[in-house]
Amino acid sequence: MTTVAPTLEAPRAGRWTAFGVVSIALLVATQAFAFVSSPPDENMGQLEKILYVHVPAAWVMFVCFAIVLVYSLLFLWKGREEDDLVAAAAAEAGAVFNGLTLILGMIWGKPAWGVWWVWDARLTSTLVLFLVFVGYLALRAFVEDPQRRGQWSAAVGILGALNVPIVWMSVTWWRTLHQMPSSMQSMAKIYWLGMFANFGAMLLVMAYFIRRRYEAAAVARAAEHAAQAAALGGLD
Amino acid sequence: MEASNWMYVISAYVITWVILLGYLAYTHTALRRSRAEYDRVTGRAPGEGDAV
Amino acid sequence: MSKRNWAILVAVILVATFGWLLYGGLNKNVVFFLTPKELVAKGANGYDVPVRLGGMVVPGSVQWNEKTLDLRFRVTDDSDTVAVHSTGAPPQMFQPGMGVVVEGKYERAGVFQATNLMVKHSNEYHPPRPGEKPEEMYKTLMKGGAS
Repeated sequence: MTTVAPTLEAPRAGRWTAFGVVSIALLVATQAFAFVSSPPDENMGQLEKILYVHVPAAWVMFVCFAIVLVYSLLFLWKGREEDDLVAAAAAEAGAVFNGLTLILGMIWGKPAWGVWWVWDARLTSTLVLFLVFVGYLALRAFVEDPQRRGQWSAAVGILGALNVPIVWMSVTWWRTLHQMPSSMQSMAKIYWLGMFANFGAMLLVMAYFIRRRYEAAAVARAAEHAAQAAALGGLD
Repeated sequence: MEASNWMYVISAYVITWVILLGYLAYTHTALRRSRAEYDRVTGRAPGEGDAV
Repeated sequence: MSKRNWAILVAVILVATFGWLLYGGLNKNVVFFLTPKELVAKGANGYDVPVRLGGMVVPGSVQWNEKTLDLRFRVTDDSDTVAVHSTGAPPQMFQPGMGVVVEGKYERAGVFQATNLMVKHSNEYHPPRPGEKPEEMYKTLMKGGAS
């Protein structure tokens, strides 16, 4: 068995608690701002308010999976265990935002389209993305050896992340029930503002999630290393 | 029609916050458990080590 | 980078390329609905088979019978137009000029019998112009060209 170099140290908590509090408070503020400031849409009425949770959640999900891609490649390249743990933390957060995006999309679909769900290219590819990363997390739970776990999940993580451009482009490439991405021209400025403000705040919350999940995994691994070292009877 | 639209909007926001706060609570529980395990293995009293 | 990791990376790239090619092959087949032009072009093959039809509701073509719950309208893609019949109240966003997708069968009589009616709204979002109120929009569209 190849042992990972026991250099992994338990990270310090640092100032992340303050970061988390500020992020959540900011998200509360941007949600309230968007909710209150946006006038009802001409066709959709108040349904327009769902934009400020559904769209940011979807964008943040894309960012999470981009982080998975970068850190999975880094892990395969350098073999640092920390990179694998960051990828795993981002994958888990990404799956949470992916699930949220799907649920919020359904809540949009029922009143706006008349159906909760359809098997069009956008919805189907988003569901596939979700299932790939649920599979990624299941894989990690089943593989014991850290080195193999890192390699296998890096492979799945990279493949999963390559789905992101497909999901993004699906509405352009194929004929779907889901509408195309909006632009500055097709959307009122006040709606854009609400969407971007919430995206920014949700991005900070995402960063906090990933940091904390990474920290928990790294501390757990450091504990395992310490236990191994103790079992060896202080040989090192 | 109008009333039911509010139902959709409100459930969207409620679900968003239930999921985000639920995951937040989970991250903290998991982190606390990891740190407790680390302290136990390294023989430090809780709150004493670097990891806390 | 270890040999094993190189192997993994190469395998991933191969699978990804294969996947992308597969998606490319699907490119022409993954259509959620046919346009009126495509449905009409199918000729006899287009009749009596389950199909989805998508297009714009022709302004002035909507006939809604509140008693029998019959909804009749025409769907166009600016090239061809197909008459649609469906039953029951449509989604609230349904209105003349709006995009729709209907599921059902195109009958030989030249009427599309829809079992399911969905709205395909655009990517445009903006508040009503001065003098318009969303609530009133719904009411007028539900009556839109009505009996």
